Amino acid sequence: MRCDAVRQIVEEGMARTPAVQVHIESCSDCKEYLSKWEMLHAGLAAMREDEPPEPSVGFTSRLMRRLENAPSEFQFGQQLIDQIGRRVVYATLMVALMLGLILALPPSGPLRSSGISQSVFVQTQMATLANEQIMGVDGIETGDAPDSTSTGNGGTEATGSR
Amino acid sequence: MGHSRPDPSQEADWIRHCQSGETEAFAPLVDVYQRRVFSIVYHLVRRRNDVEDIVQEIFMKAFAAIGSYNSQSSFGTWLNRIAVNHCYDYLRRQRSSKVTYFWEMSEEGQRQVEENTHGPKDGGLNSEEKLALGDLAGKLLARAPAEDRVILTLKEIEDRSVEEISEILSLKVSTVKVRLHRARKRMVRDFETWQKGR
Repeated sequence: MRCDAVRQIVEEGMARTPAVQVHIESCSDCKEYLSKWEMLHAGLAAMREDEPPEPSVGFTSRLMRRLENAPSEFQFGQQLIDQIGRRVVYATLMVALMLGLILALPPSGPLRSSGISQSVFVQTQMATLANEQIMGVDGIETGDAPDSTSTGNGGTEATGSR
Repeated sequence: MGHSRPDPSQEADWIRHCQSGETEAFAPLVDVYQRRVFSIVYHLVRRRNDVEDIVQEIFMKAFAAIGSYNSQSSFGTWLNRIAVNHCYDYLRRQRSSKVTYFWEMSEEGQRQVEENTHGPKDGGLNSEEKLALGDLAGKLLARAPAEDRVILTLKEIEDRSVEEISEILSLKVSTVKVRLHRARKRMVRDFETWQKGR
């Protein structure tokens, strides 16, 4: 048996099974712990016998006077805090959660970067198309028939220059 | 002042009147529950002179919040919850403690108490030793974190069941058991630390 389980059984005042008893006999740590706990338990039981003070004479009427004299704003304020307090806490938690998410997300992660990478891809495509058009219309490329390799290079250059 | 629990329908009636703003309807509820609240507050706070003021504050809070009482738990449990939370805040603010008898005993005297604790059940300790151990436990409780103090007081001094405590503290029964064990462990450790430091 584990020490913690044995200690909990004894603390709770449950019946000590033979296994618990054997453990206590063989484990000096548990023996010492339980000896100390029994002392404290006796102390706590002694505290139970210490009677609480009686309410003094006229306690209720003094309290009622105080309640009646308490400004109504106090009561209203208290109710307001009860009603909106929880909502404020929830709203703050939501804001904190959102901020946490924003800070926790990596700048290049899939969520953040999808839009950016999409636009870079579109820009690259447009640049390639533009290059092709320029070459076709102005006939700058005067050499052999333009092949896919040269177009590709042009596209790459265009992208690189940006 | 020794009021027994009223008929539930009458109690519900008082509560309804309070909820509609009739202050006078609160007086019978105070009469019925004041002893119970005095007991919880005294055992948690252990300052005889402060108890009455604290109980007044608790009843003021209860009246101010009575509109939110919805009969999901009994009125007594609801009131206990307010009392425990109020004391919890109070304890967090004041973590001072006073010198008590056990701490002034000689080592020999303390050893004697220790031996007698492990003697025959209920017969081992005389009243003076009980007082000394009570002081020891009180001192250690006063040093304990407010959370431990509340849960140990409810279980060991107020003698509440784990189920009752779970209702008062709005916790699962299993959580109460874990916290109780943790609080006891911390208390024993604190006792050991103090003994080693002597």
